[in-house]
Amino acid sequence: MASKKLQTGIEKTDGFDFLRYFTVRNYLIKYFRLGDIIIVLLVIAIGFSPMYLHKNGSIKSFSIILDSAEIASIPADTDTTIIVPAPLGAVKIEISGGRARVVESSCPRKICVHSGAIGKAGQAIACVPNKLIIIAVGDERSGKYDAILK
Amino acid sequence: MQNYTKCSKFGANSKMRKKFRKPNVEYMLAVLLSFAIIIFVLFISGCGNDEKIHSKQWLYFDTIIELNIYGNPSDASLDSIWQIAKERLALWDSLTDPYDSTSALYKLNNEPIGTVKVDKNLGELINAALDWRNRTDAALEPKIGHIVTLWNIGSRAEKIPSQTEIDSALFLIKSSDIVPISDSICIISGDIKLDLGAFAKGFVVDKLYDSLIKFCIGNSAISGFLVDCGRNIRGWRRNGKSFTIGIANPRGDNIIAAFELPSGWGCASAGDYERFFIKNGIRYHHIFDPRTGKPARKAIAATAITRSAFDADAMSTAAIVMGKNIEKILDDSETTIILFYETNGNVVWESIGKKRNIFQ
Repeated sequence: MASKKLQTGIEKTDGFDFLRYFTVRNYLIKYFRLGDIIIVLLVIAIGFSPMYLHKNGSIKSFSIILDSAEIASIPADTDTTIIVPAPLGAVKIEISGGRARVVESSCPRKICVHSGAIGKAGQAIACVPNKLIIIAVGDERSGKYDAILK
Repeated sequence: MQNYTKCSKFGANSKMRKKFRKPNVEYMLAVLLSFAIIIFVLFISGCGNDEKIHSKQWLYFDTIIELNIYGNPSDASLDSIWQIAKERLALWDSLTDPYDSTSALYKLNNEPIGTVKVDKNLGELINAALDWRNRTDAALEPKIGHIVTLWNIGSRAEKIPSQTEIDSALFLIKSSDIVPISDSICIISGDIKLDLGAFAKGFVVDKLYDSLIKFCIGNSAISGFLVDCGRNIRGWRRNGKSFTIGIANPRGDNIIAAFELPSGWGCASAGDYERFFIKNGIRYHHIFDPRTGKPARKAIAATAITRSAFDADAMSTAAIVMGKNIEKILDDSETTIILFYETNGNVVWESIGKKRNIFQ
């Protein structure tokens, strides 16, 4: 019998030639339709999505820690001004537009005031003389890194 | 002869289906394989967030110290971990703060010349620091206190000292000396002023690591911990997995490089961005070259990855002073140092020592 070209582009000879028959291209054409491929890609995309959701360091709240104890946790979307009774006197913290900064401080060197505003998960302002820390807390700890050398 | 392609997935007719029973097994395999891949992918992307992290911060050494505990320990054991950490940190802070008049280091700096008794813990640190001074040929100088107080970087009254002032401070450094007899007895001569800024934090991280590992290794609910003390990091994981550490851009907020820190290893960064002032466009920062008495400029930042946090702390500071020459003092084949330079406003880096995978 004369050999004949099949739709798959494989030359068919008599009998079942497994190696010739079982190529990746044939396999895909035979067992996958366009719909199947779309479903598989979709499921893979859903599977990977958690890795990218928390990547951009979005923040949930600002945590204010005075002498190793959390005294307040303020949602990031509130606009407010807080006055903390620190050991050396009042420290004024302003939260607006998802960013927090120290406006006024009773400490001598005012490093906390000069360190500016924070708004990314994991960032912090410290006022050492007043034993005060302000930390931007994220939904998840910014997923990709266990720690950052700042 | 059969035409294989005419057979659809479900078989064209009963006769065909009978003939193709064997390929249908392949079809089932294909479906199973697809499911296996999907489950595998779901597992990979999900398992990264399984580990629960408990963290606490303290303020010592003029910086934020963070301790992360991984796993699900009971509240009581967490409390005792926080207690251990706080005690250790408070003890070392009270020993090594050069500005606090009650600290052991302040007292040592103001002792008259002769044989003096030092706290055993502080003596151990001073010994280790002097070893590093010999190793780096005095590129790291524990006696640098006179230069540090002369520049006073970080205070608001910054000024550039004159050459005469720098020379007299350098003379004081040269003419004073400290010779340890044992961990608790030293002989000091001249007007000595020790500043252990390049050593203390790394040393404390190692001490804290040692006490935490004793506590954690017997508590199977704890799967690991990570100490982060102002750019000095060391961690441990029960399963031996490494930590992913990012390095922040010395001239910005973003992460410019990252690496894998093996469990039990330490890493540290130093740089001219920590404490500095800028005058006439020139950045004056807090890491000094003990030979010139001026801020060191061989690199803008350096990260060291070594077996202990103390070595990493000292080595990253030494790298700012020595630049590429630090390669000569690397005595093992395991240490990696990443040096950062600023060229035409861009930050570039190069790695020295053992080649590691450094990624973005």
